[in-house]
Amino acid sequence: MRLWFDKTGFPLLALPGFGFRAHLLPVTKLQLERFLADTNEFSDSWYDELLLLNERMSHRRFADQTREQLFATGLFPHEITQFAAWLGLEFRLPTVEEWRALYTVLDRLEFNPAQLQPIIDACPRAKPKAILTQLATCGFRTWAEFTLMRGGLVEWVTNGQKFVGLGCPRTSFQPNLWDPMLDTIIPLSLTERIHFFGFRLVSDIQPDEPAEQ
Amino acid sequence: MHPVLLHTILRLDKSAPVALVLDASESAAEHWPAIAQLGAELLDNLPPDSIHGVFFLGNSTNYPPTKLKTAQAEWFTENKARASLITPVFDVLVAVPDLRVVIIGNGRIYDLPDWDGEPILERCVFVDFGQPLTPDLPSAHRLSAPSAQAVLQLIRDPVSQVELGAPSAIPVWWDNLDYRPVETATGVILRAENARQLTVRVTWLTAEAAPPTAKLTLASGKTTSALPEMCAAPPEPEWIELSAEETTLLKSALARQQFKCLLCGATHDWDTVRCLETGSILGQLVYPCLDRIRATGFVVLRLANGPARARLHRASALQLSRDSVALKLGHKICIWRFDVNTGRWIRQSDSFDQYTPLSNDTYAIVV
Repeated sequence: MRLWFDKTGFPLLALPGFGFRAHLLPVTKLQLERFLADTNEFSDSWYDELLLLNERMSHRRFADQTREQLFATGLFPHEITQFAAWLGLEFRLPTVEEWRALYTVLDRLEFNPAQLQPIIDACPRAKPKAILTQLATCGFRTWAEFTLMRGGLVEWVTNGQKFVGLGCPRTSFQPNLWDPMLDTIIPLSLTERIHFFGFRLVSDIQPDEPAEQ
Repeated sequence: MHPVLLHTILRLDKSAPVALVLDASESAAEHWPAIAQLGAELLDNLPPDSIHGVFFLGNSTNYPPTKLKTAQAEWFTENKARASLITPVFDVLVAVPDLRVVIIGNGRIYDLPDWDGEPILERCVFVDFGQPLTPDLPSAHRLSAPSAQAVLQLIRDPVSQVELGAPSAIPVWWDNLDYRPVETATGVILRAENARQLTVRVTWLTAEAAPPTAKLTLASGKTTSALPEMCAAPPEPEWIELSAEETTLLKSALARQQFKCLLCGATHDWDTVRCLETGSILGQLVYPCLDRIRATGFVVLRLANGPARARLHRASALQLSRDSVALKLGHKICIWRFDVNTGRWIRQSDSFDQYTPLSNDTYAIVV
């Protein structure tokens, strides 16, 4: 496993044999707020729309029952594109194939909090450290659960020119019977915000590019 | 134990720094004139050296406080509709020790709970105009549409009085004339009230090894204390050489003989230090070199080989011997002596003799 950190200090991982790195977790509200402050392109009323759908929870206060509130949900794909561009020109949404490839590997890997410690120790910022540390106590069984690819959000991915969702949230957050390996979730409307749609970003690894860890 | 000299410094220079954070977000837009007005009033009433800066929610830039009045419209345009986030500002301010922060705005600050429990939050005052900034933090200090004075009372509690002393200590020199010696039931303290500068170096004649503690009274009436630090002895003032005629005058005075005044030519008693025959309403010092430098208070004179010399002692107290001090209280000069039995300074007499000997060849006068 190779490790990088984006400019907000949140980790990205690449698995052996993968040509891309992916955010370890869906993008959080903390990262989104950094984007809001840096770019000044979105106002309070825009953010209020998102929070009405999925209220903010401080990284200091969240518990297992409220973990979804840490993450940025309800954004439209074009807004995610703006966020990705701010994060770095190389960042983009994963494709359906990339997301499923990652999910397949992680769903088979047993999660042991001790394995997470080197990642936590390497985090350059306090807030990602705090979130990872707290999430590690939620009793996840697999890395797919820890990374919230299972039991987290539905995540925007690209399918050719289209935007669809993949994921299987826990039913307390969004009732569903979705299997991310079989079902793509197609929103009824691309102009209505969806509270359980979040996203993680990926970027391609250049040949011979060193990892930070 | 006999008293010894102790050199101390009490540092109470600066007011606690204050930063203003203004809200130009959507929810605050209609209140912007009031926000800017209150900000400007606060800046007018804070000591200039205490103002750390002016910030906007969602923006880590530190704007120059002196330009708020003239540039507020331009700053509002720059920050208009910024998201109501405090983290970009707190990330900059968190490292400033003892900083007070006044946030003036309207409507919820989204990320305030991320700072819950942090010391900086304890030092914040949140001012709104109807919609609280802190709905997620009910314990935060909140004011709604306050006056500038109401805000200032919360963030500033300046020192209004300092009292410095101990029963076993007496001051013999200090460098801040806002401090005056005051007699108390237990001896002599130095007191400053509503002074511009509160830092002071003091030399004590004391039987204690530790410096006397300072008692501070704040504008709110609260009291606290501060402990001075030990420091190096102050530099000694320069000696001024007396002329041959002044040296002769000094010798006559020390011999308790009348002398011929260098100013009026008349004969004066040996202990005359000020000639009233010169036409000046206050008279002039019989030592012209001291008069030229407008000497006041205690003067130490040294008569050794060669011309006599003089040195000013710019404090209202002068050590006379290892256990006695002359102290000017009001218009009187009193002699205080250390009592080894009680460990305290006792007022012994209310008269000071001119040309009091300090050592074999030095003498003190008061002018």
